Amino acid sequence: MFNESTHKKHWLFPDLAHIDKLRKEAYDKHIETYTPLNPITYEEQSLLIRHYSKELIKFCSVYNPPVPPGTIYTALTYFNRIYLREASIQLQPRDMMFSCAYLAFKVDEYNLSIDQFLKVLPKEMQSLVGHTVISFELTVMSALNCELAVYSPYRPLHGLLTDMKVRHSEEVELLKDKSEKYLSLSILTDVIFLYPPSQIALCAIYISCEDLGIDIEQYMTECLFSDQPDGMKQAIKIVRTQDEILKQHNNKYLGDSEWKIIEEKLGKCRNPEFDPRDPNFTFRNKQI
Amino acid sequence: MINECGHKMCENCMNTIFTRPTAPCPECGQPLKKSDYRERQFDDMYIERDVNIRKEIMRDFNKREEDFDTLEEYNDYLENVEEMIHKRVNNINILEISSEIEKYKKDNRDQIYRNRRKQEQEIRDTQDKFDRDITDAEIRRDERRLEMIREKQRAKEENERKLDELISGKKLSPQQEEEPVNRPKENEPISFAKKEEISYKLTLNKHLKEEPYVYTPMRLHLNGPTPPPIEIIDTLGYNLYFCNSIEGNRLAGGFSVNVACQRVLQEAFTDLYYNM
Repeated sequence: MFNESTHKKHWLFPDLAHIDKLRKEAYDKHIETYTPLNPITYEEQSLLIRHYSKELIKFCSVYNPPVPPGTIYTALTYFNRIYLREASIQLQPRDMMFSCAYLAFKVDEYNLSIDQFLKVLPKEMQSLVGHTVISFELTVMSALNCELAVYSPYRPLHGLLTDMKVRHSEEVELLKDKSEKYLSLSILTDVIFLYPPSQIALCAIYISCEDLGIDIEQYMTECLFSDQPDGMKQAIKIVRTQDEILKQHNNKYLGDSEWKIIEEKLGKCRNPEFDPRDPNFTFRNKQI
Repeated sequence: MINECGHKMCENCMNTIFTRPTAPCPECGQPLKKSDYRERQFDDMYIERDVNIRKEIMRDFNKREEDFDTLEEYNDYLENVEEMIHKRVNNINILEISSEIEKYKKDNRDQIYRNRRKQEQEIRDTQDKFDRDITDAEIRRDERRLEMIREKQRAKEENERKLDELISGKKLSPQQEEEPVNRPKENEPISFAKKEEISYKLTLNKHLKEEPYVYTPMRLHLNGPTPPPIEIIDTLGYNLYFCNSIEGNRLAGGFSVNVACQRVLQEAFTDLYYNM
């Protein structure tokens, strides 16, 4: 259950500032221990992480049979959790993207061998990515503190829609598509570190209802928050904050040429001990 | 039977070949004496060869951990020895290896000799200890047997004495009667059977003191609205929106649409009141 999970205990934070502080601390810690010339700035790192979050979803959507959205969510959560504790000069987003995807597939039992996993990539990339994924497996696990249980908002979304249909006899087919689309965007933001999955799902439904002109407030007051005196007001506040975070987030994506520049800069300043292309890397990995 | 160069031969063939003191190996033609053949231990020829070469090399490379300053040096040494064995077994750089072994032997002659002596001593010690243990056990067993015979005798005497007393018509007060029975028991060592009995009683008592198990239903703290109980989920109509019908064998395994429904609803309602 989510109530007793490490997800709730260790990976939900009070506000955005807190998350930002954690990221900044992790970044500073690594910049201090390994001081490269011309390091990638904190802002550039955030942009790059954001870019690769999107890439991760794109990468996961290639597989056939399709990867369940919950599994993609798990991978995405791992990816974002890593950068609350580590910095990109150590663990490069591109490497982490593949490692997190592979780990999430394993955890959520979307069974793939490493060869099947690599098949979707171009031939010339396969051996390097395979090497990266396998050798980073333990590093990723320890960066996540071995807390692999992730609760996605997709099941709650399904539950809430079913409940709406049963108790409020609402037509939810259109609503379902719309809110799933909304969810696929909102999980790219920091709401995953602020709200439990049920509230993230509720937000997706609420906003979609607004767009479609469906009255959801009656259902909420009657069925969800009937025994919570101030609940409705609070719920709407939570929904609005989430929506605001998404709106803020959407403007900050990198163009094609921009991320390549940052990627190149990162390539020059990254810690070679964590670079799978570097001969020192295998040595370090053996020592773990 | 198996020979020095690692080729096998049956016993009958051996007898025909060794009419003279030496004969060439039928496979590789190396001249061999009868003493170069020995009994075969393993089915797999490769393992046989490995074990022999290992034995041979370890006779000379017998340094111990205390001969090195650090553990790392010792480990390096062990690795080196393994490497050599591997090469010998697979016939890699045979000449190089043999010259290396010769050199090592020459350099460390004293130490090899010393360690060999040490090893022999140790083997002798363990053998001695083993023998001692066996004799000790025998002595103990004998003692026990004697003790049991004595005990029986004592009981018998006691019985006879009592009978005599009864016959002679002497009346004993209850205290007096019990005393002689109890006294020898204090001195006598408790036999194994009795000991077991006592410990058995102890565990039995302990076991009885434990509280019986009381079932308390699991309580979920959802921090949200209460989902409908699993029994009535289908009567409320939730199952209609779960299109996947359940096949026979899954149903037999105890899985029902209600279970899936309940899970989804629970997850939907968990922590809806978070931070409110």
